[in-house]
Amino acid sequence: MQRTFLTGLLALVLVIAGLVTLQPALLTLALPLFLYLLIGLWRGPESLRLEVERKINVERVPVDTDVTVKLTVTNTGRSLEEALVEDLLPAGLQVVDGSATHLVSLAAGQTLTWTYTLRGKRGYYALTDVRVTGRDHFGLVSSQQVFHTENQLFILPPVLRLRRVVIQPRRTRVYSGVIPARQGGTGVEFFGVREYQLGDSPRRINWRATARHPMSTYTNDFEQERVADVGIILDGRRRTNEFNGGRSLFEHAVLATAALADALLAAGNRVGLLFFGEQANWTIPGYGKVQRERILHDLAHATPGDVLAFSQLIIPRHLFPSRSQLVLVSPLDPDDLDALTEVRSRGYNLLVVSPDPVKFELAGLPRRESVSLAGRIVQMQRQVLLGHLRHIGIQVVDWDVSQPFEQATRSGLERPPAWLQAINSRGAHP
Amino acid sequence: MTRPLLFLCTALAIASLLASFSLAGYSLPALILLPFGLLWILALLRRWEWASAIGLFAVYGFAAAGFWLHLSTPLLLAASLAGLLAWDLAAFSQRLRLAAPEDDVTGLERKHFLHLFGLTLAGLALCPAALVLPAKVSFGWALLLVLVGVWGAGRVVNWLVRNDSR
Repeated sequence: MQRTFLTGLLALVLVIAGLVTLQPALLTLALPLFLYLLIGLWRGPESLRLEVERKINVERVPVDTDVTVKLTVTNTGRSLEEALVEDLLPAGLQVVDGSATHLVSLAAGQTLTWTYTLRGKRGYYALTDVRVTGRDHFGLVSSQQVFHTENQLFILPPVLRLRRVVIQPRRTRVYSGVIPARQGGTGVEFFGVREYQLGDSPRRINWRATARHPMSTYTNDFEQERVADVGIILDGRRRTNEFNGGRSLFEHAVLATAALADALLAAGNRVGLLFFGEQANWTIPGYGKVQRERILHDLAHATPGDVLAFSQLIIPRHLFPSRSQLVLVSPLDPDDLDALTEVRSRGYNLLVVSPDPVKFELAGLPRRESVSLAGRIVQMQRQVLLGHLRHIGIQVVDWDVSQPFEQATRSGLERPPAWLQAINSRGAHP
Repeated sequence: MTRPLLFLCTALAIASLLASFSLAGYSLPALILLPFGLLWILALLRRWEWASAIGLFAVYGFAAAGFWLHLSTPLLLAASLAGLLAWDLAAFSQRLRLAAPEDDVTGLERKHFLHLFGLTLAGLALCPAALVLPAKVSFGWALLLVLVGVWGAGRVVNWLVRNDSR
């Protein structure tokens, strides 16, 4: 438009100057400009009649996976001398091969197809708009239209495989699983000795106890192993996750959440997710692979927000009865102590996986003595907070995000194999 | 192909103006034109979009001044046409930057150059013809034509604006 205006203005000035000064040469100078405008006007596109179709080879992909997009444009109207076709991609997606923008000449009835490859950060992306700008050859007259398509892309967080996450909630469900249920029955871990009952296997008779008490027979009892209700709470508060320079711990927290959800579901538990950011968003608890996909799907959506305070956290009792297991993934804030104490006092077993915000922030700051000193003070405050949490019976995993998450969980969350436990217990009580 | 042609047209516009002023013995405009031309080419190298508009207005300004001073008509006409082509090619070059490597840029260029060639031929034929044709206009007619010209150009620009915003 600016070009049309400038050309028209120049032509007009020349015409007026020529007429006012009675100089025919100035009118002559305006002639090519008028010709230029006339050709542009004559050849300019009126309206765009196009059919636009976009196909994506997959809708759900893990991070760092290529997605192939096929864009087809058919011109059902008049021929377009110059058409700029732009596939408007949401922020977070980047083209790694090919191009999402094309400058072409589209004859009437012509169909053009392009393929390009995308890659992106974790998230949900609605691919809805393709913008086409038609122009005459001189670029004077243009017509622009946005065509809507219905495509979506979920880029799911990566899922690390954790061998086993040890949790010991006091309340378990009736189905057998891997969590010690604090009840005698069939299992592998020794639980206690009780009097023999009809139907007990003779192989389970505790002969030593029976010999000491000749009037009765005793049987070894094993601890039942069952599944449990586990609620994972992902802290998406901006003030705990985001730091100066646009650095964020949130992606680490999402990675930990995905890994924990995967491990807990793989162990047969009923797992739900609460994302706690701009608003609380529950993924209703469920079992198995479908639930795993639901959780990953919801994690793809998760973005930090800063509206809610942690004290406003409400855990629905019908989903997570008292004494069931909660797992909080949060960098933690000193103000959270009261809220977590209250959760614990309501009878929940709480495991806190805390990506270390102090070390993370220090890694992005200049190495000065004052920074180092401040870092030590804040780290001490954090250790005091973690100490308080441990003191009230909360299991804490302090994760330095410069280390792999598997390494942090290996010591804190994985149960050693039975033979190793036996060796350790022998070592402890010679 | 577009970029070399753009530099050629820019250089031609400046050289024509320079020649027309120098041949008539006007050294001051020539002295202004030389650094201006260099700056214009530098701006094109740097891809400063606004430079071509300034270049177009300057070329037409110098050409109008040249006609006022009765300098060589063919040189001034050549300068104005080359200035217009440079202005067009600068914009075209900017638009071509949006093309993907697999797009048929050569085809687009070929079609564009054909249109420009037509425009240049028409300009080269019409402008000398218009200068040769005898026409005497009284002040009243001139005033009327100015008013009609302003109204007509206003309508055209208004139509273009509406058409563009659709």
